[in-house]
Amino acid sequence: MTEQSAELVFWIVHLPLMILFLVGMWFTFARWMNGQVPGQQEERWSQKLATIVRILLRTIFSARLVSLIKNFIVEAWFNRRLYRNSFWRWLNHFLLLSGLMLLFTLSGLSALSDKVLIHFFHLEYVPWIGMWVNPDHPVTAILNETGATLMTIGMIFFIIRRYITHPEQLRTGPMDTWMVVGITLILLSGWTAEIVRLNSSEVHQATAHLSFVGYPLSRLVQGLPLPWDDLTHWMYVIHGILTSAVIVTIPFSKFMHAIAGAIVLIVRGMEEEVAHG
Amino acid sequence: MAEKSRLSPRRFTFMQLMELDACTRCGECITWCPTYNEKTDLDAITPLQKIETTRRALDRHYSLLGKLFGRRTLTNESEQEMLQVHSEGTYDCTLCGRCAVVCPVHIDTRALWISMRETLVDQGIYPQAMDHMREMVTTHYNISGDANDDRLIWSQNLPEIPAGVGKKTKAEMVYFVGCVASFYPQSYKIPQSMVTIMEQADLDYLTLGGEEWCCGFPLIIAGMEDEAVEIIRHNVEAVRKTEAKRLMTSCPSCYHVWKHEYPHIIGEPLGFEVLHSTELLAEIIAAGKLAFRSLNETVTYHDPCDLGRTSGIYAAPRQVIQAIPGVNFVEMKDHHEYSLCCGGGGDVEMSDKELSAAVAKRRIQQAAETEAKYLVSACQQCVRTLAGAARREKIRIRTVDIVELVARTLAT
Repeated sequence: MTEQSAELVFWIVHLPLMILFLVGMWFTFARWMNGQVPGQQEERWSQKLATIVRILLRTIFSARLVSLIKNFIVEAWFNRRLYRNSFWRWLNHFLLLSGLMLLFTLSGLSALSDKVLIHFFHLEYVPWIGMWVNPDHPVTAILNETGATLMTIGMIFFIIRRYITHPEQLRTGPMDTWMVVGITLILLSGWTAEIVRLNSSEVHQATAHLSFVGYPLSRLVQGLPLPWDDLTHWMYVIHGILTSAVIVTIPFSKFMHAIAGAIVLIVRGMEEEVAHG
Repeated sequence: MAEKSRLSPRRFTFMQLMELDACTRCGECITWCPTYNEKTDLDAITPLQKIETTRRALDRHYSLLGKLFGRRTLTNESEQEMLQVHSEGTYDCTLCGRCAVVCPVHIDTRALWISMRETLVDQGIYPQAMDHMREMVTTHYNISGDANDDRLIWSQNLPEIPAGVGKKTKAEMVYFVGCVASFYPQSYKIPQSMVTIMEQADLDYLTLGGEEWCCGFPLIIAGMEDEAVEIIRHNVEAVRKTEAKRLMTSCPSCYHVWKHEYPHIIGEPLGFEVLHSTELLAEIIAAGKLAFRSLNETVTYHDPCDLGRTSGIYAAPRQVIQAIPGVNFVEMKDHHEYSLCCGGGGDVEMSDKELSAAVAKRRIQQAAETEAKYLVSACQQCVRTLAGAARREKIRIRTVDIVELVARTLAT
């Protein structure tokens, strides 16, 4: 199997899943739109939507953008209140979220560079564009490794708290378990893909050790008689498909809190700033 | 029936529906919930479960999966049963808002619980006691069911009835007494003390008498805001007629609705300032209008939920207490925004007296731990609930409203 066929399989699965994700998000947004919108007496959807868009644009194209960014960092990312409630829970959440945001950003940069800037504009010679599609580039390797490591440590804390120490106030239902299973699947498949890649012939041995977790792990299994080169593409396809399969559940599961929670935290933070002058 | 079984999202705001999805099920709220900690067999009280049930009921009709599979996973009958339990949990909440203080996603829980109650009222799934309260408020214009013209009955025991009590039609400030202080004899001391203080400070005030109607708070928190609109408009007009520049009330619930709800409900600014008695007291003490005798006692303060967490007033009552010479002021274990509820809020006393008493018991024990001689609050309902708990628990502590404490220590 070639890299092209592996990529084709990925897109065949990924695209319908993303369409389903968007449909789910649409239904979720539509459910929110059934609610009352501040300053809007009209029941009509179009009026409510216009009000929301107006509020959004007035925030983005004004000095309030600074407040929005500040509240994203302070409230949504660092989550001051969680820190005040419990350091360990905060650390757990911070590691997971930071790792996720870092990996998400790297994936975005990689996709933008590969599918747009290089594919259409042939800018592969620009170092700060080409590096995002090269997993052996020192910056990309270290950042990817850091993101995955942060997420993995956060996930281990999360599992220990929810299933082993299990504080009395926790209620664990199918949605909580799906969140654990989903993220664990992404992490395991990601680490496996990285280990397989580091054992393939495509890797630059000079920089491979920059994958500071994946590289030592790859050394442990390098003696296994596996077709590392063929597996490399397929492991990335599996990792990509599993990630897409988890993303598609966002609007239907507890994963939605990552989007809704961030918006609520930013809005509340901005409201508090206004209230306190 | 089929339509009625459908929980509607229209009572919620856009943000509240988003908040339902923002809940991370971390359970922090459960640790801090005063009612759940006294009724652990009813999981439906917990903020987490209230959100979960509402989301589930709405998802059944409004989400993609709900539209596809909703009726298979949740039948009409099971949805009704679920909502019945949800109603019990939602109306057993004192609306103290402590969960909002600790929620890592900053969910405005108190407002959310009120919206949930509104949807339950639309469904007809709410405690019958609320109907009695509605009947009293909408027909007698007060919660006790007494003749509303008797609102100034508390003034009969005053040595001399001041001009501000029922004899003036114009003044700088309106004193909005509130239903409990007007009609429940154990709370008469609050308005009596308040007018004594205002007379001493030489303030120009008046009371509305029979023109004062219930502020609408009990209806609003019961999920019956629609029924309160006419009452609210009447009250605003009655105050506007006096041309007063300020409205003062010693009831935190009246204060909260006047200050924060009325402008939204009538759709315009009130045109006058709204003050709580503690803010007025702090102001006149700072202006040197009151002189005190010493009170060489230990005093602790209970933050009423509607004054503290809901309205953000923490400093004024403490300034007032500490202005009394000789007072040794101590805080209870839980104070300021973490203050434990007295158990008297959220109309819970109407639907579950035992639960209300259990919450009050926990709070009075915290007061006893401080070894204070006086437990001061700034709410007639908190004082009444906590005094009852002290009596039942045989705890020797004087539970008084802050205006009573000030009036008692005035140097005459």
